[in-house]
Amino acid sequence: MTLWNRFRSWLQAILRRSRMESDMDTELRFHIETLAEDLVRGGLPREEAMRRARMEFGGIERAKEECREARGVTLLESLAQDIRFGLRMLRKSPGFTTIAVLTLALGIGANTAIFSFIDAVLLRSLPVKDPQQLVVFVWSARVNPKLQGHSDYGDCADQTGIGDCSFSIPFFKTVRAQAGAFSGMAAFAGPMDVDLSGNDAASIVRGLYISGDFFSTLGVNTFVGRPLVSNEAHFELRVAANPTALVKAVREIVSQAGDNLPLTDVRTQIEQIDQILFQERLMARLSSFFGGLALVLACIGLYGLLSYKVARRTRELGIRMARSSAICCALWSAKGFC
Amino acid sequence: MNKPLDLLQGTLDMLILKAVSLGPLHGYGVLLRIQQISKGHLEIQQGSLYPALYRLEHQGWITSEWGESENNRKARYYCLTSAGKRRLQTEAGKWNRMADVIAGILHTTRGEV
Repeated sequence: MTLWNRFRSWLQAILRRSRMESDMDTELRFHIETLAEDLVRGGLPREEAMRRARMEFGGIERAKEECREARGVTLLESLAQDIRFGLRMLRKSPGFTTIAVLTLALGIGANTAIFSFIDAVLLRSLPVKDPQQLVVFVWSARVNPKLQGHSDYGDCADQTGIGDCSFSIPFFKTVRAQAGAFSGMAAFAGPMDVDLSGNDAASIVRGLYISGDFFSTLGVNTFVGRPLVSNEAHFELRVAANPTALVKAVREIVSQAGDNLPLTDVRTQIEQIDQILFQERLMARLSSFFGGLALVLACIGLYGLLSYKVARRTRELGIRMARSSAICCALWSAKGFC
Repeated sequence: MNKPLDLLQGTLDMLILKAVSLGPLHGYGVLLRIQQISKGHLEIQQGSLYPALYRLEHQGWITSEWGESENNRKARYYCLTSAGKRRLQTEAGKWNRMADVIAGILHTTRGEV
């Protein structure tokens, strides 16, 4: 509440600056004149009373300045002053300005390059083996055909509704039998909500219907378990408690089912996800590191340049300080806007 | 009569809040009221009174509105907000605790240590 109050009072002071000034004048004049009236009542002559009142009040201009400070007005003004000064100095030394702008531009440019690279390589590309060789089949028709029970998988649906990437299974089988130009062909339908239930509580997950060669066509492996077309058994257990506690029990059950069934590769899903994401995480860390490094280098460059300028302007700074411009202001103008 | 005491650092804000809590006042009125309550024992720098008032209003502890003074002039009257009331309570509490502690220390005699 007080924060909001402060902001409002600050805004009022900034926007209605002349109003604040005249209010302040009225208020201080009221104070001094009323004090003088009291002194007159005490027996002083009018002139003398005014003089005494002013003297007792002390520095009027200083009080006003402190009032402005209390409202946060001076902050903005000194900022504007600094900016004006900075621009003037930049105009005065074009060589420095050019180098500073170039250094910053290089730093920012390097960063942009790094992140565009990451965007293209990591974020935009499909996570399959050869994304540039992957195509999606689309059909289009002159008139809108009657469609029933087809998968309206989103991206390839035409705006006019007379084109889509859903095909019938016989059509898919025919094309697959004849398509020698492709190294593989697969079909999918969905995504849709699927009911996943076992011994645990049932849950709804997103799933796709896919043909058996889906994974081999895309050249990817499954996150958990194995791709289809395999005569090995694959278990996935959903548990509410600590999953590693179950490993022993599962081993016993499997060995009861048959001694020749070896149980290999027991991992929790979190471990599997960690393993899959390891590369992405590494890339993310590396890229943020190098991005930061590029900016730091740019900053060091600028700092060096500024130090050189400051060293050259020591005399001028001395004069500025001696002329009672506050030390922090002199330093600020030296560091920020040579 | 003794020479009036200079105000301790940081106590002006609390005294203003207290003075205003007794009823709306203009700046000069705040000065008079503090002098009156302290029976003239406190010396307040008039020049520092207004920055303090502006600061307190900025922080939302007092509000101001223009009114007519007893000598029929336009004057700005300050009064305490509810936030200011709470502020005054905590400040006064802190002050009393501090005064007790200091007094306790100063009253300590050789035998008590």
